[in-house]
Amino acid sequence: MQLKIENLTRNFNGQKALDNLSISLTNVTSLVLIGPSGSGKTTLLRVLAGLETPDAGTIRINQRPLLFDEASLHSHRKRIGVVFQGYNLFPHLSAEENIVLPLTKVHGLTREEAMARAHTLLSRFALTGHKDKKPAQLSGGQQQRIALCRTAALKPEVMLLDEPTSALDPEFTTEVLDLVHGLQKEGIELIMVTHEMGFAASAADHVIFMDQGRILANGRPEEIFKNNPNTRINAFISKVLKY
Amino acid sequence: MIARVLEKSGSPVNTRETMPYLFLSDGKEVPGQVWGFNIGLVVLGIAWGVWACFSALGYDLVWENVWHYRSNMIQGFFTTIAITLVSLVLSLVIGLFFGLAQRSRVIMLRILCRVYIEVVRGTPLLVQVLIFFYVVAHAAGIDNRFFVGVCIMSVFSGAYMAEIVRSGIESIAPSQLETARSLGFTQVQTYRYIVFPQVISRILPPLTGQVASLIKDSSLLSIISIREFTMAAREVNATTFSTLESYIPLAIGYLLITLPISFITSRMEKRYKHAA
Repeated sequence: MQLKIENLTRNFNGQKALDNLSISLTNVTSLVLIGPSGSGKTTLLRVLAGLETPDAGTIRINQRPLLFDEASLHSHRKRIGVVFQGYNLFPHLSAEENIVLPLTKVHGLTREEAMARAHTLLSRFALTGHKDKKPAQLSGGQQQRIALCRTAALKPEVMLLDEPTSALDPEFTTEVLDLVHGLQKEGIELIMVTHEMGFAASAADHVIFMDQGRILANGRPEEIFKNNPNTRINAFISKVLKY
Repeated sequence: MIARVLEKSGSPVNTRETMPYLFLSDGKEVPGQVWGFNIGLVVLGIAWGVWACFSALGYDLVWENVWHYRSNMIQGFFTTIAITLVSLVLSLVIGLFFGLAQRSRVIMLRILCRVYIEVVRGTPLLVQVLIFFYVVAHAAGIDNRFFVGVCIMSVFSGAYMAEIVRSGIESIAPSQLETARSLGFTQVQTYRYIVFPQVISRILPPLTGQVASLIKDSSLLSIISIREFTMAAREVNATTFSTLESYIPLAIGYLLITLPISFITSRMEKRYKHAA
């Protein structure tokens, strides 16, 4: 993907969540955003998802400008996929229906086509046995994997993941990250906010380190994680990796 | 339940052991005979109470005069059912509209909703009936009393329905609305496929409860001479002077409608508790 952000600013009650942020990236397939809490990572992701409108600045994804009128945002949301921290499956629908509903109602697929897509993904990630269960009957890890399938089924131009493992019990983190890894191998491009430094180091081809609404550093994972000259980043990484 | 209350009130615990057929114990199924026995005791107790009251009154029930006017009562009974059914449909529409409009972006609409709901819920139905009949209906030139009655009950019940709908919608987590938005659902689609299917199952029990109130509250329409069930009983009483013989069937008639409804309500509450 190509991503070009210029002078992006977003204030919340005088707090600058995004402070005149600019970056230009080309040929990135997996972009990971790291940084301390409150650094603006999630706000940036939400702006990219079309869920938050910035106060100023421009964004181009794959050379298409992101416009912030409701009609443009709506078609933008249909092109990209979002996975939230809290998995957010619809509780009244089975796992399968959670995947099928947006395909048929938003993307105009027939029920058969949507079912076929859902089943391909579910069997690819060994979730077929859970297809008729309601979210309440699934573990957090299973719910998040279904949520990932729901987003992947939309064949999004870019997939945005907001700390997809932060709300999970540690034992489920691996199965979710495995699935993310599987999607990467299938060619899905993603932008992910995460605190899983190991995953960031191994799966990203570009890492952005954010602090106080600004980009403190960005580059290939090895440039960020190994022998970084910036003391702020080094302190953060060594703290995160301490235990 | 009863056992727990007794225990808290300091009654000696061993009554539960000496008379086990009077108490529920945790995790044990109560046999049908035990229920039957206890129901029998309660009915006997009530019957004794009723008998005691009537014998103190020294009043002999005479049914012939009232029986003569039975067709009036039956007509009134069905008028009440008809008013209730039409008002139910109308008040559901009103409730849905005002329940949703409270979330509207139009500020005036929100204020209007609040005023409507607070005024209707905060004033006696009796006053509303009188004002609506003598002021609003008169000004609008409506003289069909049945129609006026239906309007009053719909407006009254609609305010309560609106609150039920609003609380139902608010029970849907905002994260679900955001997820729907991020998936590209339009607002209409979000309500159609995500919000309403969940809200309906959650608000069905309180809504059926509201229907039972609607039936009983419609008795107040008798003050503007709508010949519903209560008015019929009042008329029979006025001609026969058999007060109790007129009002006892009235009470039984209302129970005939409300008891099945509360039965259905409790069934639904159980069902949706398991579903949730």
